[in-house]
Amino acid sequence: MERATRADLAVIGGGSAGLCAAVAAARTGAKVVLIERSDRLGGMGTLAKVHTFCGLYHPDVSLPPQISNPGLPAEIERLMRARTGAGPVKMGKVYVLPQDPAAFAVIAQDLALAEKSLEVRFGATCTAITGGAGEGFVLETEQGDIHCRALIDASADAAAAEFLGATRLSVAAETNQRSAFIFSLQGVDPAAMEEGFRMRLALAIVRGVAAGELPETAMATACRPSTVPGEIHFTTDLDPAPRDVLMATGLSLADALSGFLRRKFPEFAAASGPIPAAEPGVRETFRWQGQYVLTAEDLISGREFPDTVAYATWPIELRETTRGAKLRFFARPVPASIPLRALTSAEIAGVFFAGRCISATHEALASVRVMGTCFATGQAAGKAAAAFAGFRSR
Amino acid sequence: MSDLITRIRTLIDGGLFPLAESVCDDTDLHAEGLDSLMLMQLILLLEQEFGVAIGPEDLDRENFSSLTNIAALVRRKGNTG
Repeated sequence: MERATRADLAVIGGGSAGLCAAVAAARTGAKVVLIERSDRLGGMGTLAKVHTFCGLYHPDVSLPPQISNPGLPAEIERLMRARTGAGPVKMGKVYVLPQDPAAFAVIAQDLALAEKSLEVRFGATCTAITGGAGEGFVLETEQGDIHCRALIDASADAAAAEFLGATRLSVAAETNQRSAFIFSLQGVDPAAMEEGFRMRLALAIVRGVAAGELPETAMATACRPSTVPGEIHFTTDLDPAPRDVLMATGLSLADALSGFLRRKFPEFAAASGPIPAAEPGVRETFRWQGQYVLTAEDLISGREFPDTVAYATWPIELRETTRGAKLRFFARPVPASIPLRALTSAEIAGVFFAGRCISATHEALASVRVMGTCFATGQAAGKAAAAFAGFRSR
Repeated sequence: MSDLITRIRTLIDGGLFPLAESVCDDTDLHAEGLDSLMLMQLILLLEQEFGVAIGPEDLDRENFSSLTNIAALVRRKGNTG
């Protein structure tokens, strides 16, 4: 089914950033094509079962939760709360919104379907991208070529940078943030949702590893009740590895852990088998080199930019060791500015980026990579790319 | 007692997460970032360092909510001199 399509802009990747980029751009009237390699929108929030929206709320937890980025981040928050009935939760020094990956897939789909000038193509990946010298771009996909004036890379991996020969930022793969593998069990006794029980569970897992009943990888497993009654999510951080290795490790781990819990705890006797994520929750790969590279210092010091287009509110959450997350909070509990230049290519006019592949250092990424912030950078990149193609926000 | 607290502080600071200087003996560690995962790591560290055995009955958030409370737990479990 070869066909050539003309659009004002193309968005690569339908995760939290790409979704918001495409919808925000389409709302200006621009004709947008969004290509997504999987079968659904939502990225890590659906495929990887990441079940909390982080980075949505103002960092001052002495105040009631307040959305820091208007527009689509606020819309998605409202839609999710209406579906789950769950509001923001204070976890230590941050607010998060528990989210249901299945509900998010529908919310994302409905947001996209509501835009008449947005076309979503599933199961589509780029095989080549050419252009960038002022005459627009051609994206080659298995489903035909897409000609567009502006391009948004929301691939999380700066996929377009490689095709266009642009500079990518990265650290050595083994220094990358660790990835997460998430699975859930349903039909769990409600007693298992209590915090006290979950602590006993965590201790049992640690003892199980020490006794050789569980693989070493099970050690860093956190469990959290889902917004779905009777469901618990299990999240395990894994050492950096290729996606297929992470997936294989994760599936074996889910199998071992669910069997272990069923043997040890009557609360799990009637539980389902493991319901694994379709993909590992990768936290870091490659980023674009933009007109500005956002640093941890910018975020921590609350540096303001003349071209601020989005706000980061999540602390710098480094997950580099088996000991779990290391959090660095902003110096003052206020949202930190993200400049448009960090979403704009320094080398190729008409290229914008959003989400996990924005122009940021390894440390700054550890704050801006979360979904709440990806909604915001996506929305900002969508508006900027539409403006580049001649469309202004209404 | 204060020696014990110093040892626990060093254990957490060196092995789990950096403790700000503002963290005193009674500061709420959960608010400082001690999550359930770190708590399990902390239990393993305490068991190694002090030769105590911490069981499911000790898994009360309150037991781990400050350096003072952790020290009290370790003392209750014995072997701390």
